[in-house]
Amino acid sequence: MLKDMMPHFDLYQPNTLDAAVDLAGRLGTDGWLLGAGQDSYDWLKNRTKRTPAVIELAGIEALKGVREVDGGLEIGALTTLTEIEEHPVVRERFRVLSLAAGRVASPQIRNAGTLGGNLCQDARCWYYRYGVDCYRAGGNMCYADTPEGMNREHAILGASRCVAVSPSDTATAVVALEGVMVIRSTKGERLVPAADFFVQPAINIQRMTVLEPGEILVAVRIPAKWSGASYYFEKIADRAAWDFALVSIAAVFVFEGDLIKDASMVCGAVACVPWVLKGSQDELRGQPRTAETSDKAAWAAVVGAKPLHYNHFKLPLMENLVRRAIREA
Amino acid sequence: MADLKGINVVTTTLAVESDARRQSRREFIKRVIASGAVASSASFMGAGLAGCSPRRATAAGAVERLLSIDVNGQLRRVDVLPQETLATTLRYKLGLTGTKVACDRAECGACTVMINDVTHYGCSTLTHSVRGRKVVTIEGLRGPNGELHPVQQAFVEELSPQCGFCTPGQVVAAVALLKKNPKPSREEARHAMSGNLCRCAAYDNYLNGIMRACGNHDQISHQHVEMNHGV
Amino acid sequence: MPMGEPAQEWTYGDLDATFAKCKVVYDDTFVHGSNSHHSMEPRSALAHWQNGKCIVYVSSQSQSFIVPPLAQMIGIPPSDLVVIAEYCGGGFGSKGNAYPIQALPALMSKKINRPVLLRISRAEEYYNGSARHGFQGRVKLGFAENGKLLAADLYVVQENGAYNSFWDFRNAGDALAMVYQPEAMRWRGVPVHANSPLRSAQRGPGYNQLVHIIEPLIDRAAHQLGIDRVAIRLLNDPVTGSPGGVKRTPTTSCYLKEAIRCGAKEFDWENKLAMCGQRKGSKGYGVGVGQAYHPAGFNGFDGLVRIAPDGKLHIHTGVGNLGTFSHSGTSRIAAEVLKIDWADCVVVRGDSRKHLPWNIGQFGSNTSFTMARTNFVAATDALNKLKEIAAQQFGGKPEDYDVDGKRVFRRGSPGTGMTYGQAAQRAIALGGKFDGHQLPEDINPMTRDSATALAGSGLIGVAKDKLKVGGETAAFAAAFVMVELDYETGKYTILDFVGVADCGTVIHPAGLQTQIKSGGIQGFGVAGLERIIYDPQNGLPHSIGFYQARPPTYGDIPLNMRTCAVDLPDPTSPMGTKGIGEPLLGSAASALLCAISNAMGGHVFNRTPVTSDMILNKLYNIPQAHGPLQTNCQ
Repeated sequence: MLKDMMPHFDLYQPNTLDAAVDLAGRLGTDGWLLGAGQDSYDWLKNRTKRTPAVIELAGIEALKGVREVDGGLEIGALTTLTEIEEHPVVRERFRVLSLAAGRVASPQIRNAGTLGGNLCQDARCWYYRYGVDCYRAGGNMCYADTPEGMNREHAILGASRCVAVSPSDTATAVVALEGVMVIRSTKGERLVPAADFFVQPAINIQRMTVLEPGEILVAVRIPAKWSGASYYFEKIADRAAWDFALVSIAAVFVFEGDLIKDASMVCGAVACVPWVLKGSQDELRGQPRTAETSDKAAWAAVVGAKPLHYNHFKLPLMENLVRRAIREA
Repeated sequence: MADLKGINVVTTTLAVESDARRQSRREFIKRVIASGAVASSASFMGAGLAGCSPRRATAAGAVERLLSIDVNGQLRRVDVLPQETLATTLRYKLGLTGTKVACDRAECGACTVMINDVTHYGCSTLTHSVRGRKVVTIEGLRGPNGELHPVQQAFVEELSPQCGFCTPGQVVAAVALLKKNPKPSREEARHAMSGNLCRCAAYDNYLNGIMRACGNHDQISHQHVEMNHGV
Repeated sequence: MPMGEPAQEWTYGDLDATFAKCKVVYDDTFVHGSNSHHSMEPRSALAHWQNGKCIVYVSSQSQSFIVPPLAQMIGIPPSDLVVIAEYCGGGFGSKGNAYPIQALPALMSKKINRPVLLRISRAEEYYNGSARHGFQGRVKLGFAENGKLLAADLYVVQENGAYNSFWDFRNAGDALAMVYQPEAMRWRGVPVHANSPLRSAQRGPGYNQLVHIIEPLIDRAAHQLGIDRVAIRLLNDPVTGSPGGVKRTPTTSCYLKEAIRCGAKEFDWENKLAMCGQRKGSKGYGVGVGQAYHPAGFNGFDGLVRIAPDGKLHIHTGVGNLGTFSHSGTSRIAAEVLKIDWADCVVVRGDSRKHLPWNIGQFGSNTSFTMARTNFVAATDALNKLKEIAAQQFGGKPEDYDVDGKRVFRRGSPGTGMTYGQAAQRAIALGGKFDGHQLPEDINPMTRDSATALAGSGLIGVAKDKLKVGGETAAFAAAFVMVELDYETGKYTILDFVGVADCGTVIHPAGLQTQIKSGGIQGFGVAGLERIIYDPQNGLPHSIGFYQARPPTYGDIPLNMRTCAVDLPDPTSPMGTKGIGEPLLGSAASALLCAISNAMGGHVFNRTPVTSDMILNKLYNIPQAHGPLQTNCQ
């Protein structure tokens, strides 16, 4: 049981955002921000990461709930995944997000887990999680991107030294819906488009998001743009519960008769960030919704893909999910 | 002190670990360059939170490790470490060993408890975060005279448990499901129960138990043929 | 594949001549992955010493069976060891015998002279909790034109882990010889130690891996020879008396053909088969049939019952508690022999201080066969003593008496007799063999100690099982699976499952259904999900949690599962019972592998598990990531 008891940390439980922001600013890298901890506890129990202090945000009521704003939504970062899955407005107008939230892990994790926590979770590379001194952990090698590395679940796109993938199910939907992240710190508030919130390893190999020490993701704004749009979400994983995506897709479309007027498509678990299928979107805009168009979009999706030893299968899988999204949305 | 208004701070009264925190090499080097020394968290606390360190806050009585939590309708007073999980508190401090710990990583559901009628993994919940909320464990489901909860009774009748280690979690998850959806279909029940692993693989029997408990008798599945009896 | 000198081998028949007359010969390599037992309870043990005795609380499938080996590990005589094994927390073969974690707290407790509790973590469970042996190998099969398997040549390399091992590789040879009845066969095998987690017996050790490998090849032969896949199995299946293994021992009963026929009917094989081959959007159907076998004929253990002066029947059982309730299910046999209401029976179990007999552990699908025999002989001994006591009291010969309603009475004169309670009091008064003061010579010392401790407390029935053996008693099973395969994602959904047990007489229908269904689900895990792998660069174990090792969840099973039993008695069990659980795993896994193959136009992977990435690679003509005989691939 030794490894299962977390080492000591000081626990701060602010119940106002101002207090949390102030604490986060003071503690900086020593203040581990905790949503529901469904990712954090693994790190702490395994002792692969440690922290002298934890700032638990769950007591801040202002960070919870879904509000309608200008035809869109503002979702507090501490809103649970179950609440997002079941929220009538999310279901009715931004269903792709409801579906994504409903496919996270397991019911208990969705009951506890928060949108902010799901978006900010750390990479799921098993080597990194094991605690080896890989690039992401501050070392100077990648154990997965080698001829013998066990890399079935790893990236086929956008890798740079690190080949871990973005594991978040909701991130694909939030990026597809062109969400905006609301970030607070002692310096004030800043807004970051969801697509820019996630950080590629070429930019910063030790971070998954743009959040600086002391910054707190407080809300996600979903603009009205894709409200009521046709949608598609699918997550392919090994088991029906718990498992992270092998590949996932979140897509929204505006159709006009047989024509695809606009499209926003994002794949999860193929790159270190939610992978925006820009090429596919370009292929689709203004085109008829046909198998030929879908093929072009599917091929565009995997342009530049560099599969590793064990994950070639992600190429046809990703292509097929693109085809399927266009067909089934 | 004003900055800490409305903040619960929990710490041990012992000195904070000095440099136990694991840092990446790069981060470590950066810190050394920045501060000119290895920053111990104790000294950091003293300097950074002038007058507001958790240790002093505790001494001043602002926050205590001693906690009152509502478990199975009783207010239980218990001394809880800041990093302690609910499963640990229930099992090793309150003697409620019905809650099982099989993975301690939110991967199996043996530790499932209800918090405000919603299922949570006790292994992945800090006890300090359930302050003011109602925790119900398997022990809290018994009737006033010790009788089995209808879900437990149905599980017995459907021979649901095998080794029994996942069973308390399965019962709690099923009870929470029926609170939210009193008559789920078999499919809905399967979805709702999917956060509870059973390695004996008695899933079908558990689903039968839930169908029995909620009165959906036509969805109890006993399609069984004994060949010789038909001859 | 390197085919060096095998560690062990056997042959029967003229292999070369038989292969020469075959119409179709396959020569394939295969890989069977390893999968963990994933017992839900991380291994725990508590020990303390008192008055020279060591008292241990353990997580075990077995009760009496582990006392001698555990005592040896602790370094004390078995009589000084108290084993409390009331609940197991999941074993699946990994807790059948004594294991070191049960002994460590006892040794520590002795050193520090206070109780010691040891509980390992989930990650440690994946190192110490053991896993199924993985196989690499080569198999050559020769079929006649009509589909009969004539010749088989099997070479198995078994991965053993760092220490300890089971004889899965030998069982694989026996399974091939039994299930497919080749005229000539050679088996060769070599177990290899590896720097990897501990391996041990897991549900159907070796027997099941073998059918996972062979059943898809049987389908391939059926396909090539134009024979229905059910028909080819009916052609090859053993029957009662069919020989097994190199010793060609006949089976005491085998109704595998009946199981296949029963399952095919329930499953609606013909119509379901007709649904396959048509694509429905991105999806299509596949059906599969699988079969498996597990010998389960252990015997020679002791039974012990006691009729107390209050008339209740105490059935002492040392079998253990895996969670299948068979400690009680098999105790009912004693009640039936003595024609006593179940409500008047007490099952005494779970703690060696309760004076338990020397019994088999709960493993090897043996409980319902072996314990039926031991409880039968003990109850029969008690029955004979009841009749003897009555004859002494009321005259006549013991065979003039009968029992019912907790009374022993003279046939034709029900009023002449006494209650069980009175008979028990009389037994105590008579002493000697009647109340346990005089015991049979041939019982195990453990049973002797237990019966001696009970002496004078009632009428004691105690005996060693010396009932007729007469061949190999084995459980057989068949399973049918229908999948819907998504050709765009490589994912499949199991739409239907029918599992059929040839388990002899059904004594506990509800318990049987449980075993068929849960064995089936575990088979789905082995066939399609579970893995235990490590990093080949530095040896880091990857599968150190449920999440990485992937046992099946609620969502990975069919919504409705159907069960059947042949329900024909085995003649060597007094109640007709034989084994149940293990071949259900093998037949279900095989049926699933065959159904996936069927949905892919008959492609055979020659490896287990088959995961969605392998399916996709095949469907899109991408070379598989793993090499031909590579293990430890994802």
